[in-house]
Amino acid sequence: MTSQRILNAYIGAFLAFMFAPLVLMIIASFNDASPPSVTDWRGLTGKWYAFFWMSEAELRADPVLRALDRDRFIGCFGNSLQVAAVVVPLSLILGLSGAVMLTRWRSRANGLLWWVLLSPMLAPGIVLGLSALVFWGRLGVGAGLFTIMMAQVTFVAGYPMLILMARLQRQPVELEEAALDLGATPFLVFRRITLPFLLPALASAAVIALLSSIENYNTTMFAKGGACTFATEIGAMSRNPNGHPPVINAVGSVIILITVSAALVHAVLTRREMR
Amino acid sequence: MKDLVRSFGKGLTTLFVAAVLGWALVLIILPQLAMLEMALTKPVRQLDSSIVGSLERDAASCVNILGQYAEPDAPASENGGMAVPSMSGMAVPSLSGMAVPSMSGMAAPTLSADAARPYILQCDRATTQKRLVREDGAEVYLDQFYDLPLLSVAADASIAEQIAAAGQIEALAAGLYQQLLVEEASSARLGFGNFTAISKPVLIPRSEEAQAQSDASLNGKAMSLLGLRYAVDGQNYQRIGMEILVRTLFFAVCATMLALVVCYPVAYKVALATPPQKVVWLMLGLIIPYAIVELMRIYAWTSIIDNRGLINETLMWAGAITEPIQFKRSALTVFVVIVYTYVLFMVFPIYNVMSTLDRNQIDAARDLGASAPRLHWRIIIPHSKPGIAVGCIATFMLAAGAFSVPRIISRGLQSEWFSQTIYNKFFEVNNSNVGAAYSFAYTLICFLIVGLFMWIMRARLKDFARVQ
Amino acid sequence: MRGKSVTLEQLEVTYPNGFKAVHPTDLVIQAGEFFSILGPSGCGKTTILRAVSGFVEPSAGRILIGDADQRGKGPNVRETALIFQNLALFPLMRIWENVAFGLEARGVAKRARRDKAQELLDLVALTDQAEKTPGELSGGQRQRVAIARALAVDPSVLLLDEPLSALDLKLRQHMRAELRSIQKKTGVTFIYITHDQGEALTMSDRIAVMNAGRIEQVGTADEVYSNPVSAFSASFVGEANQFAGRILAQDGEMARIDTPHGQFNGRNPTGLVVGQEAILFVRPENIRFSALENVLHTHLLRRDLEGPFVNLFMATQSGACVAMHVPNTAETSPAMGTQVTIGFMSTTATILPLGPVARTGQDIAAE
Repeated sequence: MTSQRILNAYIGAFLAFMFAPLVLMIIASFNDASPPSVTDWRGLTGKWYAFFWMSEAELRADPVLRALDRDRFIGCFGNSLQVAAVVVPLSLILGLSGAVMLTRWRSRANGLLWWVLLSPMLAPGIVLGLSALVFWGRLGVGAGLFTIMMAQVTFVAGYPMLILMARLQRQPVELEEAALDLGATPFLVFRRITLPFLLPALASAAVIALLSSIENYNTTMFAKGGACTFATEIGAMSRNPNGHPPVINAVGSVIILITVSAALVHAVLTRREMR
Repeated sequence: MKDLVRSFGKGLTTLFVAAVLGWALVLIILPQLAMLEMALTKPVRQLDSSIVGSLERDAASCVNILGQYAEPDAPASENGGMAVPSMSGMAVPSLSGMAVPSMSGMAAPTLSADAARPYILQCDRATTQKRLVREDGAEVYLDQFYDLPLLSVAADASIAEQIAAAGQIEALAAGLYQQLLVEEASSARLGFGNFTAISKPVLIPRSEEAQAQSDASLNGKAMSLLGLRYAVDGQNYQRIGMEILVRTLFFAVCATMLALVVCYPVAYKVALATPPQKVVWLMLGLIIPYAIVELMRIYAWTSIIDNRGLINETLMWAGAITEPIQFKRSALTVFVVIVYTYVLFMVFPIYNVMSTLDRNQIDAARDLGASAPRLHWRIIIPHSKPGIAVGCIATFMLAAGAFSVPRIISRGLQSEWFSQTIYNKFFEVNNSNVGAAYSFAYTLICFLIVGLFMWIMRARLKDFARVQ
Repeated sequence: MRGKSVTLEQLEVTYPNGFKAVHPTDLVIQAGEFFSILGPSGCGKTTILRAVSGFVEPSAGRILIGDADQRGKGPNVRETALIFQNLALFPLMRIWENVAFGLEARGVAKRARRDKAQELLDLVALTDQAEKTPGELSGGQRQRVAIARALAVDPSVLLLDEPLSALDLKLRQHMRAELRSIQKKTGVTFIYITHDQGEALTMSDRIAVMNAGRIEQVGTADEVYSNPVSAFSASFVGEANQFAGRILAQDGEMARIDTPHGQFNGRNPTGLVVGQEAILFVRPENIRFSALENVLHTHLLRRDLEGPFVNLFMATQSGACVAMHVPNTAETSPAMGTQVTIGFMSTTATILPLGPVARTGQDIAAE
């Protein structure tokens, strides 16, 4: 039983290690001090959150906030959504095709295809950004949102592929054969049998692709040229020797809140399913 | 292929094959080939023609600027400093005693007092005695190599003479430039020069005191042992690119091992040592930090390690230190944050495989009298091996390719991680061919390490699909 | 009668890895017949089924359904319907949608599909289950959905790949009768694949016994059981005591064989001649406690009670073990160890050429 207790204590410590920085981040987001701090308490404030909707006049009056370019920030977030709008559907199509080819294509080249399609997930993210930049540059396409999209799709498509592959492998081949045997065309089999079977996996793959597209920094930084996305803009705010503005903490806290509620909903649903 | 057509029909099969081909070729293989080509191409600014071309431009600007002096009513020297080379690429020396020297070999401006004109950089540079870039580092000069007369714009001559000299140089250079362009277009421009740049030694000017300090440090000793630092004739050399590469890989391997040690008990607890009803809540504790945007997890650390962050303030309050410790300049901090950021990429693969273990096997082993270590060693670890392999590979690649962590933690001040070196080479010094070579070589090295690891672990690529 | 005949002409299947699953085979299955292919796993029976349904391409020979050559036709255009071993019901569709899927594939309007599905569900006694999903049904019910789904496309030939193997014993016996009655009602040709001789013997009009890619014997259940024509048939269908030896004498329909356990007379359906190596097969139920035409001197080794019957294992002086299958009545059990004389009639024993035999439980236990 003592070993159980040691293990429990260890898990507690691990979770504390994982959550402590996040908690400190939330606390600092309510502190009226810049750069964000948890030790130097200057009073409770909501202005780091209000930054996104406060009036121009209020904005100009604040010594910290007036240095920030709100429109650019929002514009960059818009860019992220644009990028995701292309990256997510494209990666689902590529991922589905890859999953089908890897699970069903019986050939000696199959092993090679595994390496090729999985290599972007294994390669350092910076390399993908750089090579997209170089390649499209040679074709005369300048760095910008397009190169970001191409660089991101290269590896993001791997997530749907792995998820769909796991699902495809669990679908008995007999289901397809049975439908074929009953006179269905291959397309009808795909539409009525395979696709509905893959639907839950497609949904979770889309969520994961969306998240990894928006949060991606390493690849995007190298492919972005003059463009910006949500992640690169957040990252750029670190390049201030005096420390970043607490607005980042506010954004982070909102992200944490969204993540926690989504995870809770997911957990409750899972529990209900288990019963 | 026949099987595919039978299962999915011609239309869908064509779509799938086309999509996979497009992905593999346009997004993966061709970009890497473009990268390889770029890496093998000599940087343009190192070609003889580029040097002659810049000589031609310098001479031409010299003529122009001097012309303004010849006309008394022309505006004075505002244009003079137009083409001062940029100083970018300078980096502040780090705590570990490493300095990145400026790559743009600066010509020290010599302003002579008795000049008939103010100092004009372009006129100074307009000389046929230009050093050419050779891969073997040989000293080759333009005038000797191409048999040109030794010409330069003497600062103490009259302005008219200077204009004439510069004009002559310009004409010579222009002729040679055209000739060289034709020659270079027909000759091969590929070579491995950019790759060897990684291990090129760089002279580090350093006081004896600083040198002694650096030699005494653990890092310095290790690097000397590897032959990456050495002294010749009292001058100290470092193979800087190689040093950063080796250190990055070393830290990445350490981070992976540390993550494995930290995560194994966590995965075990969640997968096998918790009743199923409670697993949901424990999983929640792992999923939440995992799902939060990576950058935010990194930013969360800044309020801990800042000069006025939690640790420094606490230590100062306790009186242990008087000056804040510069955590953000320490490679160790980057290491810790990398482990924090990517540790969960180790938990989930192990958990996913471990949870497929039939708990009856554990009970059976216990029933047969196996101790806890034997239970892990003979039953649980062998079963979880694919997950362990995948987790290690994922964590290693993330740590080795980490760019966001060092960049945000060090506020862009340090260049400790190889990914930053690639970035600097590619963008900040405008040395993109060398940057491409660094990037390509790095990918290759990482894949070799992963391949070797998979071979040792007898892991297969298909495990990646299994642990999902 | 809407069933059609199925003809295999020199059918041969070799897999890409070089494994010859089916050696050249000729077989005619009559229209409206309940035909079983019986054999151990890996004997090629499933390959034949998949070749008939169109999932496997024959490497040589041809398949006719009725008079139509099936070469080049995919499974979705053949007049066959296949019932899979795991049933392969579509888990995300409701029961009636499952049944009507074949009609959907043929472009039948939804209302007509629903009506036809209901009609078939009535046939298989699942009237009230139309709106459920496969996960909500019991094993036997799922079984009947699979049959209804296959019948919905009006097939001429229904192919069944060990569909009862996942059911428990009682249900299996019940479904045997049900399958038989559905077959009689619809008149569709059934080709039934099984390794369970009980299923084959009870349901089939005719049985083909298959081993190692070859059909060993085709005949009615009685023919196959009572008059096997190969060593494999004799040993695989039912149980049989085996005595290997050499032919001593041959006289018309009968022959005499010399074995290490004695000399015995038996029927000689394949016309074995003197000197040939052969095996004599005699079924346990044909051995009696009396000195019949062929005699063995034994003592009781083991007695296994099976309820109405008793299995007795008798050891001969020469070291053979002879199984007997006798009614469970008081006078039939000798005391353990006592010497008993047992025997069998020559007409109940069959002498067949030496050849591969099926492994029995006793063989496996002896290893």
